[in-house]
Amino acid sequence: MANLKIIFTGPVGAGKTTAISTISDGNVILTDANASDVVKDKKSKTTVAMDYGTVRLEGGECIHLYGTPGQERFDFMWDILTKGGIGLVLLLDNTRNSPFQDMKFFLGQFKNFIERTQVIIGVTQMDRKAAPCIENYHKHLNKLGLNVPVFEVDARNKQDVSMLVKGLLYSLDPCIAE
Amino acid sequence: MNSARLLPPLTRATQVAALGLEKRVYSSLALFFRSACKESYHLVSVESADISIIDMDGYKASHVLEQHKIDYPTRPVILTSINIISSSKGLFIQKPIKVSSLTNALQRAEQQVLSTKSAVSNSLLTDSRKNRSVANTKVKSEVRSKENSEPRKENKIHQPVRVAEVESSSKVVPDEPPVLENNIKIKRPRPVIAKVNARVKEPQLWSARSLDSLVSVSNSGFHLMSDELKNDAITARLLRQLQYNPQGMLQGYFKKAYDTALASRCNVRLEGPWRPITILINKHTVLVESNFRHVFALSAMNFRPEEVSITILPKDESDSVYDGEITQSIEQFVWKLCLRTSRGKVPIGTDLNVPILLKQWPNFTRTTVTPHALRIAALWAQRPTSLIKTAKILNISLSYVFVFYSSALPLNLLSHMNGEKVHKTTSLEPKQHTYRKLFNSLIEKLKSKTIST
Repeated sequence: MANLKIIFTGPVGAGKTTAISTISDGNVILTDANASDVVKDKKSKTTVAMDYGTVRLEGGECIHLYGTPGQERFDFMWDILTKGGIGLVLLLDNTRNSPFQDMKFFLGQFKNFIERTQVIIGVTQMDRKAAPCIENYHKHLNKLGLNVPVFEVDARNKQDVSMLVKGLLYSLDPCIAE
Repeated sequence: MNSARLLPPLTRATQVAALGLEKRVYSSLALFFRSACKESYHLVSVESADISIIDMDGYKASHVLEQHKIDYPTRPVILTSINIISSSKGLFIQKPIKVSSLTNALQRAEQQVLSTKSAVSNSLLTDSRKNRSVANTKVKSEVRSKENSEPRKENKIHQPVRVAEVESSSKVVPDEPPVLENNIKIKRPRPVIAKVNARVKEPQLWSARSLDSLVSVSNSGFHLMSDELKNDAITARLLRQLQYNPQGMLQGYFKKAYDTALASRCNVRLEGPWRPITILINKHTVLVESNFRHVFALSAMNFRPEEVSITILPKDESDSVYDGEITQSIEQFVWKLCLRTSRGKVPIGTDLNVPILLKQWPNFTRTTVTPHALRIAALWAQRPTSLIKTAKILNISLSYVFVFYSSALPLNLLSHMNGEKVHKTTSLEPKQHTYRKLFNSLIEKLKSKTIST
């Protein structure tokens, strides 16, 4: 029985934990700890190991959703988490000072994984800060030679997160049924 | 004076049959009745209708008309044709059909329905009541003639007239005489603040069923486009039917207005038989007086350039006057407008065999998602594929491919590819993923999750 993994990554506060909770069945395992560094200005708790949720399918199979810790000092975890993954969901926080740098950083960190699989980008917090717009993200991606889906998302919204996962799946195989 | 008190109102929506109309026109009419007319009219089968509309340019139209006269001798008929037809045969609207002429004809037909009904009921009354009825009819006709000379009041039956009335009442004498550019009046500054009552719910997923209702209404006697689209061979005749020219439609005029806004760096107002549309160029948004749906309902109709005006709003007018108004981004608006204009067709001149590359994915979480749109986008982003081949690879109707193409093209999301290299890559079909079955299950699961939300 196949058990597949989808990896959610992105900077601190981008909504990885929330997105996983939004579409998971049952309880999500969180490894949150009180934030002690600059993160505490943004949120009181932060993921230190990983977040884990599941989507159970009819045939008994399970899709595992893993959220990486957002802080760079935990980046040794990322390689371990991506093993056996089918694709990457990169969440970016539009209110951060340099979301394009974040994007470039994460795409670079997961370069090998993306080459083997696919990536989709979700931009969060656009309701709080509309600029830069989705068009700008595409322009930066073009410079990196990438043509990947970029959607505006609210990590709390099931439809938005589902659309991200669907976009990832169709990128992996456009011929799967709708 | 409220005309509804004097004229006996129809207690239900007026039932209208449309015979011989091309399916796309039929669908547009259905949408028009639903949206702009607020369901004052319903399209129904010929048996249960109060009024019939017959397209006299259709196949065996004369025969249809003759048969209709025999079957329904008292029913008002509205004839439409490119050529002028004698009014003795019924009410007549010349093509291209204008909103105002259609609503006028419908109202006149309604009056005929009412007078027929009242004649039937009158025949059952006593002589004295008959006399009273005649007197009442006189009053009614007087009131009606007075109404014609005055602006109409809010009335369910007469609601469609408001489309034209808003346009004429909102006209303001421009500070400078209008300039004609490409046959469209370009007016100079006019300080008017647009109001919006629209509530836009996003994202909006279009089910296959709702798109089918636009592209393939399967009423007997109408062109069955979707059936023919399943066939491999696209004949020249069918290709002509599968194409549309956006130039004379709202899409074309919006493009001109947008170009004007870009060139002048000023906000621009587009007016026509639809509610005024304002392009806020610096905010990169669009706002519409009244509901966006009213505008979209007219997207499939053709309009003459003299019916349309583009007004450049004063440069010193601050965008802050529009704060709080409900707007849509220009991309969002254009996407929706184009997919409604397309209705499963492609712009004229489209080569169905040229491979298409998706340069940029649409923001699918914040716009209307047509059936199979994500699949088409994924395919075109990875390997340029022609429209025809896309339908084959994904095993879907061409209508879905066409509607996606027609919406993405004006937003510059697509590239047309040529050359041997491209043909080599497009000849390859996407490899089946090892976990396709599992992916299918996950898609199903996600669908049920979002439906249950």
